[in-house]
Order: sequence, then structure tokens, then C-alpha cells
Amino acid sequence: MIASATFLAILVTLALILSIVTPVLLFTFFIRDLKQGTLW
Amino acid sequence: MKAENTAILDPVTGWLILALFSALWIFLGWLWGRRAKQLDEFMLAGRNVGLSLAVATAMATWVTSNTTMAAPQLALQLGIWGMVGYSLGAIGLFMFAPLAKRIRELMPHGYTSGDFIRLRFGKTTWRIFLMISLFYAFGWLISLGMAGGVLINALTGIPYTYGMSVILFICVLYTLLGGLRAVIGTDFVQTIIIVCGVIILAYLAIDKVGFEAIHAGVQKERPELLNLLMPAAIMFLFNNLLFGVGEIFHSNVWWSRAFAFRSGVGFKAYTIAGVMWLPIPIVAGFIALAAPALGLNVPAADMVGPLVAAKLLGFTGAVLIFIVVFSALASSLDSLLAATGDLITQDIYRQHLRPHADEKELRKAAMVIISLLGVVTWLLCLPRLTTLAELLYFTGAFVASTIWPIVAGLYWQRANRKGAALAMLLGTCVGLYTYFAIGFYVAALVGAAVSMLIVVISTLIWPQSFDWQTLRNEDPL
Repeated sequence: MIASATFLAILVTLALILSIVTPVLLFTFFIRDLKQGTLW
Repeated sequence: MKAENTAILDPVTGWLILALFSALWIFLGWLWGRRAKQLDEFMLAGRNVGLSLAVATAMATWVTSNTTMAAPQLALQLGIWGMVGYSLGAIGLFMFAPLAKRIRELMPHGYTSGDFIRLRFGKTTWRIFLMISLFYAFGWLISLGMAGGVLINALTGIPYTYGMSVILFICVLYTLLGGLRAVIGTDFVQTIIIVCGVIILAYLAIDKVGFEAIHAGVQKERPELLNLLMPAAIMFLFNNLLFGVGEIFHSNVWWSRAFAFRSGVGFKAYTIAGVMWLPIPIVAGFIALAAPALGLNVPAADMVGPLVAAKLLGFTGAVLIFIVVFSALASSLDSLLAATGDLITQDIYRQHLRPHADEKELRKAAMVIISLLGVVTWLLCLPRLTTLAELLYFTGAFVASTIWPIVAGLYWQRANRKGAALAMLLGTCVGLYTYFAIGFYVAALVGAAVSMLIVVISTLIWPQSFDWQTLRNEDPL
């Protein structure tokens, strides 16, 4: 069974979208921790 | 392959980037680690790390040079299942989340994974575990050191030995400056750099070549990489899953974080880090599939990632991947140096050599041990022995054999000492046999299966009653 170009495109696009969320979430957590004094 | 044929950054630019980022890591390491005067602060960052830093450090440590360099290599060797299989390493983070919570509750004063094995299964099992854990730690350290040298050589032409030496030296230096505080602090910045860099590289690859052209190139020259039923790749997928679980479950890198995170943070941090890590090997591995479309000749599989990035994106791409992999290397090297240093300090130096050592002496010993670790790793990295993935998967049988003894030890009151020791020994031996007899992609699978059988059967035949309070009461220092 050979993967199609569409399969490859969907797989990589989904991974890319999930990756984009990461820095946004990390900064959100960081600012919250900083405000609450719970960084360390 | 000669580096002069692949390098698209000149050595001067390479040295400039190395100098700039080395200075940044050392400054941040000093900044965050300057308060780490006490042993608890140095080894476990004060046991009070919040969610944002906890997520970033779990993620950054798991995104290694093996993710950014071996994921493309595996995509080139095993195709789509190679990169998807690599991403299943995230399962290890998910599964460790409840364990991290349990570890923190069971051992509020614990320092290392060795402490747990010693108290739970006795000294014989503990020594077997230490051998496995230290062997793996060195395997990973060498793999990371070699990756540093390979990358710098491939992209800039700077000799392998120089690049590998610089990366090791910088990581040892800032880990010495601030211990786990420095490691966790720099991990946050490194995570942001790695993720943003990988996103940019993948986006530009899609934009410049496109899915259709990449797919057509692979189908023409390497159609087996698109085969979703490739047997070796499917075996690899499960093998990698178990390898990741075994690595995380046994390694003090992850246990020291479980002890260091603030109470209630561990479960959330490891779960979120798993979700965030999942797509990285797919995105990083994908660019290797562009090699056929670009007509690239890739004589050394572990150079495919940097080569494709350089070919696709020119100077900017080379700079970007250089920074990304340098960050990935540093984020894992520092963690491994700190955690292995802790393991040797606590389980070898204190438990075997100096049982009455006070905190001050142990703090000094930890620094000497981290320095020595750097020197030994440097010596072992000097000859470039094998490819990155081969070295990494050689250790698969060792770590996978520890999964069941650890899980049973944490949750199953009747799990016994002999069964745990035998599971680690026989799991490793049989796993290693299959590594040589069948291939690297089955070693962890077989090691874990044998280990599971021994733990389950021995516990049912010779149940042992264990008092959990033993773990709570013990203050290793």
C-alpha cells in the first residue's frame, strides 16, 4: 500500500499546525507563572 | 563525503554563530543558576519548578539532535513510518505523566531513579539498574556529542573534533555554573528556538518544492519509502515506542525532573510536553523526503537533514538549521550531564564511596563529576564510530528491559526483588541477541517482552509484600 501525496500533505500539515501552537502556549504559561510568582 | 563538498556556511560564520550562542547559554545559565548554592538547588532546582518551565524542559530534553538529525535519517531509511514511528517517542512522555505524579508522592525527598530502585528492590537490582542506566547515559551522551561534531562539519567545514569539543565544553560550563536551574532555564529559550526553527524550515520546504514534487521524487527513486506496509518500518514503529517508554521510565533525566517539579505540576507538564513533542519528528523528518526531488546524493544517511536544508534554503537555511540543532544538542546535553552527574554523585559517590559525606562535599563532588563526565564523553566521541541512529538503538534493549520492573515497582506492591533483577538482565541479553541476529528495530521490542514476562510470572509465583512508607520516610541525604 503506497501513501499518496494527499496523505503526506495531510500528515505534515497537521504536524505543522500542532507545532505552531507550541510556542504560543509556552509563552502563555510563562507569563501566567511570572505574574503568579510560580516560575520556580 | 568531504565536508568541503557539503558546507554552505564558511567556517568563520560557523564559529561566529557558535560563539554567539555559546555566550548566550553561558550567560543564561549563570543568570538562572546563580542562586543554586545549596545541593537541593543545584541538583533539583529547589524542587519548586512551575508549569511553563516544566513543560519546556521536558520537551526540550526529548527534542535532541536525534530528533532533528536522526528523524530525517530514519525518514530516508524507513520512509513515512520512520518519521511517524519516531514521533511515537511522545508516548513515553504521556505514559510518564502519571508516574511522575506517583514518584513525587511516594518519594518527596528522593534525588535519583537509583534511590527508588535501591529502596524498592534492594542493592543487587539497584547495581544492575545502575549499570544499565549509566551505559545508556553514556550512549546518549556520545550520540549527542557526535551529532554536534557531524552537524558543524557538514554545514561549515569546521573539523568534526573542533565542533564536538566546543559543544561539550559549553554545556559542561553552564551546567557547572547553575546545575539543574541553569539547565531548565536555558531549556525554555532553546525550546522556543527549536520549534520556531523547525516550523520555518518545513514551511519553506513545502513552499519551495511542494508536496506533489516531493511525493513524485520519492515515488520515482525510493518508492519503498512510501510503502505503508514496509515490514521493517512497522517493526520500527513499535520498537521506537517501547524504546522511548523505556528511556523515559528508567533515565534519571526524567526522574530528576519529577523530583524537581512543584507538587501537582509533573502530570500536567509531561502530558502537555508529549502533545507538543509529537509533531516535531514528523516535521523534521519530512524534509529528508525532499532529497530525491532535489536530486541530492546523500552518502551518509545521518547528514540528510542538514544537506536538504542547505540545498533548499541556502545561507539562511543553513544558519537556521545550525542554530536549531545547536539548541537541540545543548538542551539535551546539559540535561543529561546534570542528571547523570546526580546519579553518579548520589548512587556511586555517596552510596558506595562516601556514605557520611555532607551537603557541601556532595555539592563539590557533583561539580567534579560533571566535569569528568564531559572529559570522558569527549574521549569517547573522538573516533566517529557509528551512525547516530545505530548507536542510539543499540541501547534499546537495555532501557526497554527496565520498563516493567519500574512500573511494577511503583504500582504493584507484590513485585519482588529477584524478578526485577532477572527481568533487567535477561531482557537486556535477549534484546541484544535480536539486535545482532535480526536488526536494530526489534531490540527494544524483544527486551521489553522478555522483561514483562519475567516480572509478571515471578511476581505471581513469589509475591513480596512491600511497605510504601519505606520510600516516603527515606531522606537520601
